[in-house]
Amino acid sequence: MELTTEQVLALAPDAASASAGKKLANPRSWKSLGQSTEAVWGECQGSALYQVRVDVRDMTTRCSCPSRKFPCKHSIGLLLLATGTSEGLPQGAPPDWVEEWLGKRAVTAAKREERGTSRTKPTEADPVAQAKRADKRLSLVKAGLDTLDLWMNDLIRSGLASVETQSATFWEREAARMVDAQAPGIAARLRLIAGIPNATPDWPERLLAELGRLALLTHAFRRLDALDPAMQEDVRQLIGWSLKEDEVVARGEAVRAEWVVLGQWVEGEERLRTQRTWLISADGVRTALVLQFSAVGAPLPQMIVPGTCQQAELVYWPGAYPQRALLKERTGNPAPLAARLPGRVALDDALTGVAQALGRQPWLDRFPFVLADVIPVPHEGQWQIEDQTGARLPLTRGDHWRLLALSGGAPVDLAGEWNGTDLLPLGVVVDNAYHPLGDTYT
Amino acid sequence: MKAMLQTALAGSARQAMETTETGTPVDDLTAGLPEGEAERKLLLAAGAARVYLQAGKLAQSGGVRPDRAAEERLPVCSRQSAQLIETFLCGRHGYLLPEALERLARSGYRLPHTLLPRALSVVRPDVRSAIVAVLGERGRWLSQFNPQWHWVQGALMETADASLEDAERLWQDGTPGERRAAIRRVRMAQPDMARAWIAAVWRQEKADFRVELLNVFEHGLSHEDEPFLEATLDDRSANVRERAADLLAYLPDSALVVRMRARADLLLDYSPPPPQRLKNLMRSVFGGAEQSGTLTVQPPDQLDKAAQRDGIVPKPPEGLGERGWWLTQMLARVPPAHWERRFAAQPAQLVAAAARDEWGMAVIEGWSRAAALHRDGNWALALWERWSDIDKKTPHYHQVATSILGSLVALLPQTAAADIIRRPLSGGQDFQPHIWKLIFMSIARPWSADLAQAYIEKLKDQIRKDRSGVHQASIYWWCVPDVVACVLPPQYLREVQGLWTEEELRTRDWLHHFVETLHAREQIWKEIPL
Repeated sequence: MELTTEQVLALAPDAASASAGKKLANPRSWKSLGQSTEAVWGECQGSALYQVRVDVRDMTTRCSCPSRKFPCKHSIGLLLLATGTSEGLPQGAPPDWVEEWLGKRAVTAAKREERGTSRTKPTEADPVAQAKRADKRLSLVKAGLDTLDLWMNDLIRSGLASVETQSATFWEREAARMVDAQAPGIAARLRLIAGIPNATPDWPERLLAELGRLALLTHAFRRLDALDPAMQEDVRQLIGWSLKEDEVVARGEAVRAEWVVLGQWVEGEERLRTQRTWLISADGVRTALVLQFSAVGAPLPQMIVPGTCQQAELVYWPGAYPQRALLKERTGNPAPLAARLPGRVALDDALTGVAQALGRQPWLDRFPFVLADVIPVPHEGQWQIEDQTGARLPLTRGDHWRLLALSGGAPVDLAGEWNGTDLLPLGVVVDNAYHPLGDTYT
Repeated sequence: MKAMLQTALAGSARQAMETTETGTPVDDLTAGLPEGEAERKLLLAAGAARVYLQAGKLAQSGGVRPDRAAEERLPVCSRQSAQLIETFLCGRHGYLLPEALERLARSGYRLPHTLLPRALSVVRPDVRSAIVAVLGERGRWLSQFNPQWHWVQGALMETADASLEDAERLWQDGTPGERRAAIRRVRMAQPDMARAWIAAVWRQEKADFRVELLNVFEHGLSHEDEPFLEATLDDRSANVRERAADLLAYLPDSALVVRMRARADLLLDYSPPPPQRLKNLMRSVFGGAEQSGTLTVQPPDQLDKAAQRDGIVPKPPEGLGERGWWLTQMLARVPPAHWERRFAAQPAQLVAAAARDEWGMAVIEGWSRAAALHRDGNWALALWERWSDIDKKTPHYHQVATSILGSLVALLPQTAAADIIRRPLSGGQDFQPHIWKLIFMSIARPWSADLAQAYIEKLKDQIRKDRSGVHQASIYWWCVPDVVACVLPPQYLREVQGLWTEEELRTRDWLHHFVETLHAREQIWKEIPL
């Protein structure tokens, strides 16, 4: 186990789990403890005896407790114990209940692999019926977008000032109509737009800009045949033709490389949460975004630990500027990054990268930044970072004390997510050591 | 662009569309759009302009940067000790932080940078003073950026590396806490200068702060301070007057001590026990009490202005008569050694004699306060007995006993303290739990093997009683283990833990807490070796 305490704590789903995990990170809470090259395990005495195991190759955890949080406090406690005590856990052969679980995982992985190869062509019963369904959806979407365009034109006609007094149902009604028209991507955009009015002093400008981008999207859809194939993929995905994972694997670009996990954060409300993880290839050439969704209580499909690097195969969703990817296969154990961040650039270069990306896919919203030698500057209400050329960008609202503590006024390498307005710091590298700057710490 | 936004806001139905030009190269694109609805054209132009501006976003240019933090001079502590301390910082066993941080400081390490924001956010004063030593250069540097962390500047003042220039700056425009720390720093180095600074601002300061400024005089108190303190006896605040009188009482042969001694000498008289040959006869007549001699107590009838100026508070606390209260206060400001000389008698004799007088408790309280003020261990030993069987006394003295027992124990070296509490520990006189707690907290640390063993014996006894249902030990002892767990040497952990059954350990929260604390301390000792 080579992870740092911070990395383990960053895995916790919330601050409460992190602190509950810390309480369990003492040998007294455990009946048995052990580790092998593949796994760590332990039996934790809670209201019952819980069996906790972690596959260290992909940091997947499994606990017999009924907790709806994932990973649960027992798993966090076990990992802290494995990384935090001077002697580590006793080496040994895994007991049956660990061996069994590892075995099951291997079988599932093999099955998935098999399914992946044998189902390169989906076994669709009736290609004719399938084509018919596709046609039907296409005309539904077309009709839906027509009404959307009329609705937006009406908005401009009656004036954006009028929406100031509209309730949320005004937007929700239109969003629901887009769901009925089988254009869930448009519905999601409308729901985001609903949050703009009155949110900031410049909301009319932002509202007009976002409605404008939506208009560009429906415009592009009408001219779909004239677009190049990659752009067609983007437009279809943006409107709501989502791809299944095996479709992505079949059609997307696969990149096998050493990937460095730049950082991650979780967005979304209580019920459905989206974990956003940014990665960069060790040669600094490609970046990728892995999204994982979980309803409350359901585990994330995969544990991806910020600040680690691992040999893996990623497959990108097809598009003009591929950004989102799925983690198809990982080989070897994740190792902590013990070097500066690959692909780091100055602020101007990062912004130029944004311009180039938007030139290829104008609906992109967020971008990974890997910045070289920046200095955090605390400033009342709005922190900034400054690079070696003296250029500055604002950081996300709030305080960034850990970042400041780690930099000490000296330049550091910073990974973050840029949303066009400010930068959300996700991880920092100081003296070749990575420190996560995730939610658990703010 | 602006015209477009205005149209969109007001509504094209009301305000005719003038232009969809944005003043950007996007206009070339919109010009190519087929003629259609004006509203659609406006939306597309706005969308394209938005992408254009997003792509053209430039960084701002720099302003003032913070200075860099100095290079660290201490090595960072081990990952294991950092994790342990982080656990304590998060609230679990927070009261163990002073011990852990002190060990860290003594072994010459500092906290890792990533823990600093959390460390700087602690509020407990004892933790703060322990944290200052392990903040390193980075922590000190960091503290300047957050107003809630400015306490560090004050705390740093009390370390030797703070310069007098810094102290003067803080004294001029710091917060009250920083000013207090700054003047304390100056007092350590140059007592006369500190006094001059205080005297210069004395009149402008609020009464509460004047009391705090007087506390500064405790360091390096000398006769040089007497004129200032003597003048302070005329202060308009009673609290200030009382504190000044305490300080003057601490100065041997200060004018106040001379005055107070003269007053007190009128109050007490002592006749020694008769010579040996008479003793046996007297014992057969009067019992054994006369061995200590006789103390005659004549409490004051009146309180003159001069005595009030010397800090004697006229109004007694509830449940106490005026005369006894004045008596107590006067004795409290006379060094107890004075009575040994004046009456040529041992503290034990005098205390025993006092105990037999009807004003005895007033005398004993006065002497106890004087012993605490003058840190007189001999008197502490003699006085201890009188307070330890206080249960039968009036409510006032019962309450006083609680604090005085602790302060008397604190005057003693540990072996002496261990000696005097051994009797109550081994089953003789027993105290209420809150008194035990105070006593345990007051004993010098770390505990000796002897004391630890005596405590464990007591614990065993309590457990026996508890199990046989004689005594509600679990209630009786609930607050004591919490304190003891912080002072007991960790090697006794196993033994203490073994006293209880698994069942007992699991079902009693306080017990669980006690054992957990011992374990945490065992970890501290293991991960932060000295």
